[in-house]
Amino acid sequence: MNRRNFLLASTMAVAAGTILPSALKAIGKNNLPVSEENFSLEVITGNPDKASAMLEAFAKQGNFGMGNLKYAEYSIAGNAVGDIVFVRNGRLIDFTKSSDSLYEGLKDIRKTLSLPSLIENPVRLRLFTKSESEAKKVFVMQKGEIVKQIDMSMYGNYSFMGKAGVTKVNVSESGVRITDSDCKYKICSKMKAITKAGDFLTCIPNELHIFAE
Amino acid sequence: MKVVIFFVFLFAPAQYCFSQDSTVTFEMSASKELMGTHFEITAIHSSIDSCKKAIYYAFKEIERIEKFASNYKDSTEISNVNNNAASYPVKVSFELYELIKRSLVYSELYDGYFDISVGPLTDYWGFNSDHPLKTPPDSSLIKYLLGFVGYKNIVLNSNDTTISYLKKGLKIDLGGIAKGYALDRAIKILHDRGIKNFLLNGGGDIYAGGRKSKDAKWVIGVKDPRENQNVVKRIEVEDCAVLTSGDYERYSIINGIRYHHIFNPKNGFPAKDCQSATVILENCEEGVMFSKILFICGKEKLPSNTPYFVIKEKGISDENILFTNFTR
Repeated sequence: MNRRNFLLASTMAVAAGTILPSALKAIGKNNLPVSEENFSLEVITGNPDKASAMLEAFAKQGNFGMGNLKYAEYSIAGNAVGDIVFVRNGRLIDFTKSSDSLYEGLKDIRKTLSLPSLIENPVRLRLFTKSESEAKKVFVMQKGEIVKQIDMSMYGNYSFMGKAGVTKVNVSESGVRITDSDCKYKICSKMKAITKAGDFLTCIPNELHIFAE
Repeated sequence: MKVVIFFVFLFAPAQYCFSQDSTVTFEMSASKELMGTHFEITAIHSSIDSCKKAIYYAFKEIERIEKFASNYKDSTEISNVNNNAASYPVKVSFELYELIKRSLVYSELYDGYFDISVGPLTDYWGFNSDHPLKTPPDSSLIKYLLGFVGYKNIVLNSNDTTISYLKKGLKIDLGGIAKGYALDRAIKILHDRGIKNFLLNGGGDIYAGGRKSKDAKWVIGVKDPRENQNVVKRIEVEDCAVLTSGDYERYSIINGIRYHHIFNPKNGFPAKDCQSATVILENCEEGVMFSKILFICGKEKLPSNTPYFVIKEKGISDENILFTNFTR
C-alpha cells in the first residue's frame, strides 16, 4: 500500500463547518479584511497531492495569523462534484467573482485542478480553524471512506453493516449517538451523543467512524 | 487492552501564533486500528507534507511492531515462539529478543507482578480476544493454569538470540509492554521527521510531544471510571506521557461481579480495589507497565517520586500529583 492509500485508509480527524460544492454560488462578494477569526476551505479533487501543496501555499500567503490551521483529508466513495468551497466567518465566499487579491490563489487552484468537474472516488481536503459551533451534519466513514452524510435535522435511525455486524445510529434533537452495535464490549454505544462540530464517535470492531461538522 | 480512556482537551485560545516568527502551522490528525486498539496521532508543523509523512511513518512503525509482537495474529514472530519454544530454542529477531529481555528484568524488579508469561490466563479470561468469559470463573481451572505461568521458565540465549520455554503450555503475552514500546518508537519517528509538537494516543495511553501552541500546553483529562462522561483530573503536559490502566473498558459483569482484563499474575484473578491507575512518565514502555503495577499492587511498588493518580473502589482517589504541569 502506498503512502497516500495508507493515509486515506486511516481516519482523518475533523472539526468546524462545511458547505456542499453545490452551494458555491449562493452568496455574493466578500469584503472582509485578511486577518480573520475563522474559516473553512474545502477542496474536492482527484489530485490531492497537488491540491494540498497549493492549499498550504495559499494559507501561508494569506497570512491568516491564526496559529495552527487544522488540515484533514478523506476519500469519498463514488462520484462527486469536485470544487472549492471557502467559508469565512460563517459566510460562504464566492471567490470566483471577488476582486480581492487574496482569492486569486483560490482561482489558480481551481484552474490548476480543472475544477469544477465530476470526479470518481475523489479526495476531500479541508483546511480550517477550530470551531465550537453546533454541528450541521455528520459523516459516516467505513474503511477510510465517507459512505454517508446525514443532516443533523434528519431525525431517525440508521444502520451500517461492518466487519463485526450492524451498528445502529440514532439522530435526534439531542444529537447523534450509536444506540447499539454487534461488537463485544459496546464501548461505542456508551459514548454520549455528539452535537458539536469536531465531535466524533468510533466503533473499533466494526471499523465505523462518525464525525460531525 | 484499553480502548479510550482519556479525553483530550484542546484549551488553546482561538487566536495565537505558535511559532516565534508567526509562521502558519498546520495541525493534522489521523487514526488507525492497530495492536487491537485505536491509535491516533495529531501532528503540528509548518508543512502539511511533513505532517502527513511523519504520521504515515509513525503508523508504519507501530504496524511493524504489531507484526512481530502481537498475540492477536497467528503469523507473528511471538506466536511462532509460543508454538515451538517448549520443543526447541526458537531464534528471534534482536528487537524481539531485547523486548522480552527487558520484560524479564521488569518481572524481577517487580516481584512477578508484571509477568509476560500470563498467556494461558489471558486466553482463559478472553478479554483481549473476541471471547470474554461469560460464566463465573472456575477457580480450580485458574489454579491449574497458574501452573503454566512463571517468567522464570523463559530462557534467553544471547549468543544466538533464541528463546526456549522450560515448561510446555507456557505462553508469552506482550500486551503489557508492546504497546508502550510501540508508542516510544512512534515518538522517535515523529521526532526524527522534525515533528516536535504532537499528540500520540495509543488506546488511551497518551504522549504529548512539545506543546499545543506557543501559549498552551497539551491538556489531558482522566475519565471517571464509572461515569465516562465526567473528567476527574486535568493534567498539563509537555514531552511527557500520561498512561492509564482501567477496569472499565474490557470487562464482564457476571452475577453482579465485575471481572476485567487487568489481573494479578500471582492469583490469576482481576486485581481488586482499584478502578483506574494513571502514571505520568517520559518513557511509555515503562509507563504502561507502571500503570498496571500501580493498578495491581498499589503505589508501594512504584519507584519513588513517580507521579500517579489512582481511583480506588468506591471512587476514592489518591495521588502524589502536587501540581498539574509536567515538563520533561
